[in-house]
Amino acid sequence: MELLLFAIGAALVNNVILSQFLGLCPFLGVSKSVKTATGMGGAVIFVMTIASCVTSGIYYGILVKLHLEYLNTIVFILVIAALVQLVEMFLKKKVKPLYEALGVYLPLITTNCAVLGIALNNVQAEYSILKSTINGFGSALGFAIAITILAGIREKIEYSDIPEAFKGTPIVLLTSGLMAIAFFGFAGMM
Amino acid sequence: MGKCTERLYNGIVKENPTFVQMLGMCPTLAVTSSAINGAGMGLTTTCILVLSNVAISLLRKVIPDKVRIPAYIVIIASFVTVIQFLLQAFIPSLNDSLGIYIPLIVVNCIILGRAESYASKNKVMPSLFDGLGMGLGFTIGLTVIGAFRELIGKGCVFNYQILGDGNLLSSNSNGALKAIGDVLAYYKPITIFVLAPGAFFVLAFLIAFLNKRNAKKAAKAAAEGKDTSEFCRPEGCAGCANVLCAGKKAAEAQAETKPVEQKTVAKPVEKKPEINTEVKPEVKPAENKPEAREAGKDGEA
Amino acid sequence: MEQTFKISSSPHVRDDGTTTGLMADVIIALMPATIFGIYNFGYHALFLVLTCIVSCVLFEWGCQVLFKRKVTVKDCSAIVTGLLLALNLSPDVPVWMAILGSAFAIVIVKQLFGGLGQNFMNPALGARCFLLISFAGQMTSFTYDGVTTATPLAELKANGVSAINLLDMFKGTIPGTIGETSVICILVGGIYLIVKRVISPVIPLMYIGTFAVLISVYSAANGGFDPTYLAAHLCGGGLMLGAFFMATDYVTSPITKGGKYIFGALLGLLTFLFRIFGGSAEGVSYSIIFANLLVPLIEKVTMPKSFGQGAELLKAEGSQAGSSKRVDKKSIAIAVAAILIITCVAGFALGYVYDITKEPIAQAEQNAKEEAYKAVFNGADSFEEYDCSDAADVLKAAGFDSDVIDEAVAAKDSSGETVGYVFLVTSNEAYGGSLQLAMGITTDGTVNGISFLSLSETAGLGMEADKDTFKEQFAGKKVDEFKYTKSGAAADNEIDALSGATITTNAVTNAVNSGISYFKSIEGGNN
Repeated sequence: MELLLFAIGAALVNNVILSQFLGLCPFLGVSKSVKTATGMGGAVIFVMTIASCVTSGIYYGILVKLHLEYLNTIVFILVIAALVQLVEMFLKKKVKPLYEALGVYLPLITTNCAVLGIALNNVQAEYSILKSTINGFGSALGFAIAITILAGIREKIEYSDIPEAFKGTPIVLLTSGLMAIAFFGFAGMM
Repeated sequence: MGKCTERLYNGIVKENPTFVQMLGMCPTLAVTSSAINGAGMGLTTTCILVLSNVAISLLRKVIPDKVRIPAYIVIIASFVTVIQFLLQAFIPSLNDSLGIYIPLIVVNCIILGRAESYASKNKVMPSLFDGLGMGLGFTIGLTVIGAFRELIGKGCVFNYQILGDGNLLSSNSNGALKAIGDVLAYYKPITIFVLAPGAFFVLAFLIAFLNKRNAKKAAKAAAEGKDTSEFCRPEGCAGCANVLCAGKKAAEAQAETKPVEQKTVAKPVEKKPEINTEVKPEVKPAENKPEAREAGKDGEA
Repeated sequence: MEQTFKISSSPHVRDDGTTTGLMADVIIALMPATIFGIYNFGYHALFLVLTCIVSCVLFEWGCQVLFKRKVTVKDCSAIVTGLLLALNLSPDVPVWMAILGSAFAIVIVKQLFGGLGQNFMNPALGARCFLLISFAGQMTSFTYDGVTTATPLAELKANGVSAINLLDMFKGTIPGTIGETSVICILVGGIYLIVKRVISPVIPLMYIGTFAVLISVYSAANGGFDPTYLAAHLCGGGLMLGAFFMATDYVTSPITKGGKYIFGALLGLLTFLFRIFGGSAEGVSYSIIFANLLVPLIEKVTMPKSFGQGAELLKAEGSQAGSSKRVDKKSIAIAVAAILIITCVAGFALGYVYDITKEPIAQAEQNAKEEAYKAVFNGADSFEEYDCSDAADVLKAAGFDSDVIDEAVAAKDSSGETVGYVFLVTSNEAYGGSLQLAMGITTDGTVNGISFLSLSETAGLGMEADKDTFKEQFAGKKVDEFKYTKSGAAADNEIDALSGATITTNAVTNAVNSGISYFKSIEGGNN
């Protein structure tokens, strides 16, 4: 039960995008339609949960034992890159339409600050392997929720009469700002 | 201009990572809650950018093409860790305020982007200056945004209280300056600007302002028959986020008539943030609206 | 034969309702609440109402001129936004804040997204939440009859049902925002709107109904169902105003019938969660703007299918990242080898640098700690580590469940005599999770001072704990334990609570008290 609340807290209270500013490139780039957004969200949930588990395991199992904690950045990023390759191959074989829909954004999850950021957060906060995994899952869930909401709004405002200078990135950033204000309601809920 | 100074100018002005290319958004929003954080992050990134550009340029003929991205990442990550150690040892306060964003420099699109698009194809000295230029451009961007947010959100710049209660002028001077200081003391800081939503708003307005300015320049150039490519990137218009540029519209019209060739990619390619590549034909809805309004007027009593 | 065919987009069947007419109805419906608000709170409230309305109209006119659009202020939608914003402000709010809020509502939430009908968030509430975050202290201070008091909802949360008067809450003679206090006035307006068919009763009824059910269940699970508690929650805060006037805004609520039911239920759930489990006593504004975010998705899900359409196909969007890898053993071997070599070289290089920087890093950490100790105990010459492993038991016995003493050092003077202690205490009951402070305490039990090592509370509220004015209250005091009070500290052991940040104040006070308690156990042993 406590873990469930912890996951919900990770998703909504300290939302990985709107509070921690991690994962902005895909957030701004893949949110043009709800279908691709949910696809991206799903891929990120998959990658981030496994990545959190594996990186945490490697950290406590290998790095700490060998007093090599300082290698965590390199090791983590390589693990994440490998995982994304695996996910890409899996999607290409099994869920081809989604693979094509995500296009060039799937490999970009590697350089997605969110996955590396949450992995580093986990070891910095000294979460156990289980808690790290739950944190990864919860944060990715928050990412998926935020990107889907943004996609819904972007679809709605696509034909709106937005002033020329604001069309494109600025209005998406404004929308994100308003979303961030709305998510403030969850603050203090833990 | 010499090649190296040209690289500096390119990075700071022409292809400024923050204002023109809009790369590295995560740190731009996250660490600009104060000017000093922005400057610190910018300079740290500059160090790493220079080091990694030099290293990758030196190794460019040695690294096999298939694994170049992971290789770059390892090199960049190593330098990041080194810089992290140095900061922890000698500037712990900066390490504390930047926190997790220091290791995240590894995935900063700017560094990987420059490695991929410049350092891997050019000699060491130009690569060094390219890194220096981009890094300084990024630093300027972050510092400006940080100063702005800090000023409005706390009334300070670089921790010097300029507006609001207890500001420098009202506490440390006399006479006319003090009177000005007392007037400035009435300012109540708008806290939201140093928090998450404020970051989004500031960046949105900044980019809108730059869009407008670029559009004006491009329109002026087009009217004079000049080449508008000065405002576009050398790599082409497709990835540009500026939807107002006449050159971009022309490039898209061209792209629509012939199918776009896709490079076969084995690994993640250039980190162009495809933030807004599609411009839906704006012509149609605009045409409908005035008609609808007029029809509406007729229909209503 | 001209104009035989009128070419226009839908709708093609019209009635004689106009935007202006609708807005006029809404304004009329809001009049009882507005007039009561002015009566209840005085002239400044009237001033705020007028400021908001005028500002909103001016900003809308300005924007439409600037963006070269048709000027539509005559449709009165800006007047309605201004009125609703004013009704959601505390009567204490200064006029310039109301103007700033109006600017945010009209320019950012409405006009930049395209103007009337194209905003996705309720402008008045978006502005209110913007102001809440920016000026937390002023937006949550409610003066009534000249005294700064807590709203009935805040009283209810802190002290339970006995602290509130239901009849007053129904009439509206209570503190709160200008328009939310009088339930009877709001109901009159709401019924007018429903009767005139301006709004559909679905959203208000679903909202209030879901919320009532959830509160009843919660109440029943926590000491038996109490109808007064339920009634207090229904009458208190902005629930009625929000349900009838803000949640029903056409533009930001779902068009579809099913969507309205979902929207209303969602609002009830969110308000329940925010009010009961959230940090503040109120939750309506945030609930509504969060639900606004979900409206496009709700509409998508509840959109009636047009005739002949089956399930949507998954569209392939974006570019094709097809990769044609040639399986060439030799090149793979070279690639893997290259990566391994680079990684090993990097690893060794890092190991080397780590060895070099280990010492300076440890030194820097030690320096930081010493600075923190000196900040709270500057009379000492040196600090020596003190074994505080028994602290956990001591604190537990004394009832401090949320505080942990992480470290203790004995402060020594130049001759090596212990002149006091410094404790690093972590409190886990802070608003933002946990806070860590250092406190210095001399051997005779006087608290030297406190300083924060880690504090992540709400900006403008809990973060004010880091100001000297708050911290100094603990300095130089020799007491058994500190107590915080909101009505002016009188006794030596009383400190003034941070306005609007009772949770933070409580955490800090308990942390200091736990340190004192542990100190007593040490001194008790020494004596």
